[in-house]
Amino acid sequence: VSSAASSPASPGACSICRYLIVASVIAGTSWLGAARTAAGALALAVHLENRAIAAYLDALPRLTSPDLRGTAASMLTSDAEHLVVLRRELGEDPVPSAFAGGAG
Amino acid sequence: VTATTRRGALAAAGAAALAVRAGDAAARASNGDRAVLGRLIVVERSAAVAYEQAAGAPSLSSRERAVARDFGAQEREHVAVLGRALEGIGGRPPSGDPAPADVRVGAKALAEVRERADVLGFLLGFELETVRLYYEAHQRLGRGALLRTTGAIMGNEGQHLAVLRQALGRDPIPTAFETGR
Repeated sequence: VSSAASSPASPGACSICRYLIVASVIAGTSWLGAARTAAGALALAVHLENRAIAAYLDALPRLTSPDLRGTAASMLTSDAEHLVVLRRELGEDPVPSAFAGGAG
Repeated sequence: VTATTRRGALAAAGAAALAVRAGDAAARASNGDRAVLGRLIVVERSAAVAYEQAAGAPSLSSRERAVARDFGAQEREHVAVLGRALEGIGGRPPSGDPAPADVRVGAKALAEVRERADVLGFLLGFELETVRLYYEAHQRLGRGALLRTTGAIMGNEGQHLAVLRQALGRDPIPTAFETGR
């Protein structure tokens, strides 16, 4: 990741990464009150993972560095995998859509 | 020919050369993107065949066969969406499914595996290869607009991976960076 972030062919990449981090923190703090129960905490986690996936899908077309695109896609995929575990814990279908984030 | 017009002619020639180079680059990008999407469609068709075969595997439980059917249907959705994307950039999607005997992971074909763990292991190996191809595709695609689609599909393939790992009693998410390796 560090080598990708330092790539000279990725102008704006750092600001996009900062946006992803800040968006995750803001989403988390605004939902903390809902996480008082196990189901609430799991639902919060599902919400955060979906937000993160949506942010990665928005960021991918704006990233110019091939290495950063690959890294972002691998992180998006890991977040999509988290959803499988979380949905199972909630008793839901773990893979309800053919497209992570609902994009087609 | 005055100096002004010579400068104008040189500038025009330079601009024309730049335009030609830009056109060449765009054409190379288009050809590259078409090749990447065509390869992904072939792999998705193979994945659909693999899951559809697994949906009839006697060694899997009825629930596992249902999951295989669902995942096969999702691979078909990927084929359709990627096909439309390829047509949108002037390409022609490859048609026709591979024969089950030609769907292989390494030297092994799905038709050659019988036991539950072997069938699930085959599907896991195929999904790992598929995710690796998507990871590489994200580094190669020239059109950013295609990346939303391929990103959403790669995420879904990762979810298939997590389900298959869990079915095999493995850690469903062994890495924070899923690259298929």
